[in-house]
Amino acid sequence: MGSSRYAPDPAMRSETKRLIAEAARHCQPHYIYTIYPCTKAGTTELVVGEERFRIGTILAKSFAAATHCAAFAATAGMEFDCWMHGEEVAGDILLQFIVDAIGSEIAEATVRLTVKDVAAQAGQRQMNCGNPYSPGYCGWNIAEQHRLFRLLPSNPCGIRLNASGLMTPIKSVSGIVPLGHDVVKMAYGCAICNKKDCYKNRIKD
Amino acid sequence: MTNNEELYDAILNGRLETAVAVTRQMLAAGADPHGLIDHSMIRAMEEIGARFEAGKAFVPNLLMSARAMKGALELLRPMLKGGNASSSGKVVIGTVKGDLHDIGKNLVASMLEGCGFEVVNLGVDVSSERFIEAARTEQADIICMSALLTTTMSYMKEVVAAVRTSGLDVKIMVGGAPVTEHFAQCIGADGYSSNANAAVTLARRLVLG
Repeated sequence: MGSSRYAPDPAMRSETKRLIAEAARHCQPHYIYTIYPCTKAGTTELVVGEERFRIGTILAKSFAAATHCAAFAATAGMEFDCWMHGEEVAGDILLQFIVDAIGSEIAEATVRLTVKDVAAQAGQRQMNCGNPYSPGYCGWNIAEQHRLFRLLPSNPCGIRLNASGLMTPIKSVSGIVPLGHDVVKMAYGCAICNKKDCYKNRIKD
Repeated sequence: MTNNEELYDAILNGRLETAVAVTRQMLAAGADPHGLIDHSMIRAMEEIGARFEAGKAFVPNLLMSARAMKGALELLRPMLKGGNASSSGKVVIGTVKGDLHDIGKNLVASMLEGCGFEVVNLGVDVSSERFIEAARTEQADIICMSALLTTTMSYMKEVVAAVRTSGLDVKIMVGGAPVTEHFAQCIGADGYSSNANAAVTLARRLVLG
């Protein structure tokens, strides 16, 4: 809820509990992934299948040992989106805040399931699995989302992209996961990256 | 406790139902809507904002106060229309193109509204053209931009350049987790704020020129 020092009062706890129960009725989590061979190009680029991504120096290090990667999309579902933007939630800034946090947790949990599944598949091919990374983060431009979606079936899990590369339903995550015999699962990028202007590092500080 | 104090207390503590009930009661007793706004509501929002900035209140507390303020304000709105009410200024606010994070931006919008500004919220993924069009149509005093990602905050520079080229007489303020004072200066924005309360202070300063 924005701060580890925040202790929610009983009213806030009860509202959050009610919304979590309500969210369970609206969320329909789905994920999809496809595994491709990949190769690095220089210190900032990665070629996955027939797509060339400018992932930047931070992410390139995480893909240094990757011979393959999984392109994925995961979502809390369109019904959650409709609820989130419906009259009850959208008209109340406090509910918006709580439901946004719940939606992010659902999407992140769906990504964790995706990666678990990818890791199991990769394991059968004697490959290890790294952390997932998404366009928009760690210096990887959101505009490359369109290229990433070309690696997945059309409208994967019902997710659509707008011209800016943003996804609908909003509570969706897409990205790539490094795979390979020599891939080592490191501490998550945020634990080792010192990108000064990233909000995650500011939270860390 | 007087009714004014009760309203102040309800908004400060984020009690929506109480804020609405007391406002209704005061209006029925003939209270001046402008007096309610000035003497109770804005004061309460300023106090919760100050507590937030001092680390004594948190985002949910701000949101609860903003919600209580909004509920009470809804009752007053019909009485303010066509009157001689003067707002603190008009702000067009949005999250920049490529970015869909809007919780912080909505919080700033609520605080501005709670502190007497007229706010036009353009939502997320807002292009420079939309910022300019809205600022022109609404005759805004300030364009307020937000971004959460390092990969989208650079778009703020494009918006600032486009606004300057357009010749619009409007101030530009920026905020969002990756944004800094230095970045704001580099892109030519008129101001930066690190939180919702500071955004209100900055907006007031910019409007006064």
